[in-house]
Amino acid sequence: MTRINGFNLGVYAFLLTIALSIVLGATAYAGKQQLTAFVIGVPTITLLVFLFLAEVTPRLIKLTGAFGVSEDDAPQAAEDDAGASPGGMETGSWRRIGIVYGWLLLYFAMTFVFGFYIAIPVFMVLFLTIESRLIPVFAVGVMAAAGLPLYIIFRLVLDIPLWPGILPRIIPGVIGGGIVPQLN
Amino acid sequence: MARIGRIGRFGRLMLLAGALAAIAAFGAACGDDEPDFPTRDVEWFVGFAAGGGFDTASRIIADKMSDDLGVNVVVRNIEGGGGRRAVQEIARSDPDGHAISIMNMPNQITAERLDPEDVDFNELSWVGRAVIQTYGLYTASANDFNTPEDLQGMPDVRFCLSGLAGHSFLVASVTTEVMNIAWNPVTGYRGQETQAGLLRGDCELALGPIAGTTLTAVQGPDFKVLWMYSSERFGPVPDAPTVDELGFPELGGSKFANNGLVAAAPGTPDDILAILSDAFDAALQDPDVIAGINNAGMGVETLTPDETAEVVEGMDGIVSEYIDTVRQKSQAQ
Amino acid sequence: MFEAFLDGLAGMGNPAVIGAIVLGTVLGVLFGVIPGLGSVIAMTLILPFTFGWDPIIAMYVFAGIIGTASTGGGVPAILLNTPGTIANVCTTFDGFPMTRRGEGGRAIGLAATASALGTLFSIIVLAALLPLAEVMLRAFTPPDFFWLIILGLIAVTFASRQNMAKGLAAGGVGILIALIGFSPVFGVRRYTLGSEYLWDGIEIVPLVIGFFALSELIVYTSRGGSIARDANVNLGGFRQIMRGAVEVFQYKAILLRGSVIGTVIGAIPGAGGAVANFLSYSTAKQASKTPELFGTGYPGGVVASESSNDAKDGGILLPTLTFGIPGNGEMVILMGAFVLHGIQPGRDLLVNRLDIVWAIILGVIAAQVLTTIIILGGGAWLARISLVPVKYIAPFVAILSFIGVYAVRSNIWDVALAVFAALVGFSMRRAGFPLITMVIGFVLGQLAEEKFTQSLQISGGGYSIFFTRPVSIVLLLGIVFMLGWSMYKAAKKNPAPQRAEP
Repeated sequence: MTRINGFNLGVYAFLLTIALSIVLGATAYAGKQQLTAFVIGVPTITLLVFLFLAEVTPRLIKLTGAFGVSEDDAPQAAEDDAGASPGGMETGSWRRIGIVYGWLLLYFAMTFVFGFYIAIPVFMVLFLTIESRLIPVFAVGVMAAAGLPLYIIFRLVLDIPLWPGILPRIIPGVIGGGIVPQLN
Repeated sequence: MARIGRIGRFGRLMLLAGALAAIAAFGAACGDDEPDFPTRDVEWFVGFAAGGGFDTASRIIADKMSDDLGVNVVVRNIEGGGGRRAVQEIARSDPDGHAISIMNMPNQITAERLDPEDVDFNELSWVGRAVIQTYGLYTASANDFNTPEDLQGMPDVRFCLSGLAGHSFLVASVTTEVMNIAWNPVTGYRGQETQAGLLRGDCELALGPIAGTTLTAVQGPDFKVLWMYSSERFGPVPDAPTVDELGFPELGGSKFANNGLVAAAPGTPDDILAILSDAFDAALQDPDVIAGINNAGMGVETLTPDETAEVVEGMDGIVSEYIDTVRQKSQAQ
Repeated sequence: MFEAFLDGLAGMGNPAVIGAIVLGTVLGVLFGVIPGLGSVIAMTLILPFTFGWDPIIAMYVFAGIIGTASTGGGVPAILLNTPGTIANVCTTFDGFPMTRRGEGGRAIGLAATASALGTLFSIIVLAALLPLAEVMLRAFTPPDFFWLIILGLIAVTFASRQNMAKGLAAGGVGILIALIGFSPVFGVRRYTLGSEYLWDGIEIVPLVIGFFALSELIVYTSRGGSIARDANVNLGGFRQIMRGAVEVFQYKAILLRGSVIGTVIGAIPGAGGAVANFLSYSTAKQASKTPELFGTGYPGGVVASESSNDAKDGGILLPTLTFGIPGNGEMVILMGAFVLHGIQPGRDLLVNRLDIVWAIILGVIAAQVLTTIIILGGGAWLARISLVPVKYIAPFVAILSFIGVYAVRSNIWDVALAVFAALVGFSMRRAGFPLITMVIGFVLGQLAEEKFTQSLQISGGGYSIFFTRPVSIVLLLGIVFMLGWSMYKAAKKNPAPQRAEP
């Protein structure tokens, strides 16, 4: 690995931020409550800083090899085909990754607003027609064939109340709607 | 069978929802004195996991109340923060009586004092008392101390407790202060872990409601109750003395009992509250309900809404009186 | 005791009992197979409906669920790289590579038989050990517990297949985020930023669903194709599954070790199936003559994982039945069922209600047999999932994941958290971090803090308590041995940092 991997740096930075905020936050608490945060946090931060530096300083990469920190240590790497990404995953292009995550975000947004009962069939038909390239009639068929058992299992047999969406809440008196739980 | 009732409920919900606007309009136009209650299912919040004592009692009572109210009373477990999330949920519900919550008192008051969340318990619309669990102090049978005097002579007695907040911590703080016992808490013991802690010698004493599995344990040969926080002998453990008998009446009465009190949102109209409390009382008079609650190791001593509000005020007073002791001990840890 | 056993055996002919076992088994398999749901949710949902039933019948239902969820959870672990329950995580290490080789059926056969034998082993041990339970429980004090957790965490780091520095760092971050929320020990809320959502900390279910199910969904959907990489591969159908089922006996040592570890760890409250799972897997790897095969689709890895997570069932029942001390979520619900039905665990149960004890023991065995038949018989069909193009699977995984996350506590923000965790998990994997150490750190973090604090409270502040108890010393030696062993191996390997090609 000769060039700096910006993506890895971003992940290290993210994890460092979490670890640092917990350790620094711990100073606000009394006595023994700080103990675990420090005992675990300080070595964790040290490791992460070390990984970060190893990524930017080629000389350190050699050193990390000696410490068993190198990527080569991952036996899983052995099973990857050419062109595989680090971490032993074989993914598509960044564009494809973005599209798939976009689908998840879209599905969540629909669920949040319209509730499970509307979001599930709509999402399924959209995904099956656009992403899976099924003809719409087929997609609706698959959705019905798969959605019905889901409805029977979760609603009728298990009686799990599913999120009704915030929309019915905004338009009052329709079917109740869900109270959005407090975030703050 | 319950299943069929549940399916029916969904259909009925839809019907009711469809008719809701019409009913509301009709009610408003007529200026009827009879409150339109309940117009849909009533939710009963439980701040603890399904399967616990309060949850069990809630389900038994709610089931009976459903018959009386003509709608389903649905138990919803809102776990979190040692029961506090359910309290908050009810405190900010609409005051239309369609949501009620059972809460462990005075535990919730202590928690609120130590870490305020802007809940005023005197503001809640109290429905009544579902269950009562009498507190007791117990230890492993192998230990050779029995009386407050025995404990006073020991260096630092350790109590296995759930945490540095909460009711058992309050009761432990008060007891040791009143009885002049030197003590230290060992925390993180929930449920039956406490008994394991006693048997292992992690601690010498534990206290809590003598109900459910704790009651079973102290009725067995491995544990003994040193005293009960009541003024009269406790039926299921008749051999244990009361704090009054030991000369500490200030700890007696049912001041330190764990109460399962039921409240609706603040500002719930009296007529709606009356409908709720009638159904609630009727349920608690049912022999099957009482037997079910007793089976789960809890007692039934009903209170009217006004009496409940008074009890809450009294609890508020006790907590206020001892909160500094609790805070000091907690911060010393 | 023997009479009650015979009575119980005779009672199993009762149609109601059979119905109860079937109901419990089907629920257990269903909830086990669906990632994110699990036995605890299944038991919680059925609990209120058993009120009013004959307690024996109710116990058979619960036993059915207890005995089957982690067996069912092995199926998605093998086919979708998505552990059905947290105790199936190690099954993915070798089960999924086998699926990618087109040997999903064989892996399922291995898993089902290993599960059945593991359960059988632990239940027999349970029956034999019931009279001795008390001694064992008293032996495990909080400092011992603390060392056990540390041992578990280190074992997990070794079990993960990526590099150690990233493994340890991820584990550390996992422990740190576990500190968020209400601390039962201190009775205060920490790091919640005043957020009510974080009051009880970060929920485990959205975290693992995001990390495993959804991040994997991003991986395979962005790639396209099917989960079994070569869609022309013949899974071998029923014959291949039976081959796997018989093959288990080639891994006798791993099977026995997994069963023993599962039983022993299961009996220690709080440790649970996940720890047993990791310990068994890493021990099998350390002891193996061919450790480099682990993680590449080695059948022994599947056996190590699946034998241990089912063997914990017998172990975990021990403290529950004897003391009424539940060791995990399942047992907490079972205790709830005891209370609901007026059953008193402990001496009363073991003397007066032996019929209940045997209902649970026989129920677990019967359910396990039934599950094994379901999975062996239906496995060929289940295995076909891995041949379906992922573009058809993806929406179902997304939908089930969302429902599963929401069902736990009906909070829509949990679903948002799962979607966010998917992004974090995906990125961490891409950067070479093992997610498993992070999740285990997360699971054990608060427990470690609790036991650490308890130890100091018991000793009155003295740290010597950690080094003076016999069990602690044994565990410490285990930790030292483990660290030393891995350093020795690393030193041997380091001069020539060549990849170990299988």
